[in-house]
Amino acid sequence: MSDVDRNMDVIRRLEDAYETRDYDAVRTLIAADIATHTPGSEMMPAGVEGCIAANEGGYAFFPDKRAEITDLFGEGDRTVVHIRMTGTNTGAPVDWAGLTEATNKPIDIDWIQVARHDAVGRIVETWAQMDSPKMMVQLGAMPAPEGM
Amino acid sequence: MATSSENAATVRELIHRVLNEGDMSFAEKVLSEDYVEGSPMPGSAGDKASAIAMFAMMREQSPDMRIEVEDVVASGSKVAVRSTMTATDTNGFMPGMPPTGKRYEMGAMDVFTFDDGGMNTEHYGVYDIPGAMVQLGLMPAPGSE
Repeated sequence: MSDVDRNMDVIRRLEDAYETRDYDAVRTLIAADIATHTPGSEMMPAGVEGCIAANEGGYAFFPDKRAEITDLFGEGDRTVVHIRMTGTNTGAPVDWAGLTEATNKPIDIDWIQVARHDAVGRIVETWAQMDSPKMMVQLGAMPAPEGM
Repeated sequence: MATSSENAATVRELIHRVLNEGDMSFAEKVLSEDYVEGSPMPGSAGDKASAIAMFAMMREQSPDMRIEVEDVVASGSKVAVRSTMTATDTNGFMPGMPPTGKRYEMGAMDVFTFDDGGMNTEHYGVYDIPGAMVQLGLMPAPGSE
């Protein structure tokens, strides 16, 4: 298995671990001191514990949260993954979107992540963008853009 | 057959010539006729013509826009780009929005797909629009309420 294939396998195993909330596995796939560059990550705990907290936060808002890998490739020490995230906001109110009550509305959004892997495949740095405007529109926290 | 590094070079040139310099003819040349925009703007047909119209609209709203490519990851038919756009909100962040005249930065992730002939057949992307709108004072910062 090439390093790129191994790194892509790490991404698949990580998504499985997030979905089963197997955080021992998450801690073996992500370096403890991972550097994350995702809008909002500055509000989370540092390192891998922030990644775990973000996943738990997702389940708190969307208890039926599912993530589907729709695209995955890599070059050198980096992988790129495109994830389609779906769920229903039956849990906690999405407070960062300014909501004070659960909306019971479904979301269906994309996120794209570039990850850098170390020599054994562990994820040491990530850059990601989540389509939060689409999520806010789907939750009714923001009007749909007009005239675009 | 176009290699992944040739496709990556095409993406860099597309960003530089079309978005940073406003040369729409390069987009006409490298987007395939059956191009599919995977992240279309609301109400857009998501085809080649509407993609080029969107590039022109971005230049119209912020004529000094500049995209800095920070990373390119290319494999097979795919090219991913991580970038930051810096611009002045001269004519409204989106059409119909009042201009603020402020500078803003916006992080972006884009993925382009190419055919064997090196033509760009598909694109999707995700942008830190809320982050830009907070900088422009068009939206409260998360957690500030």
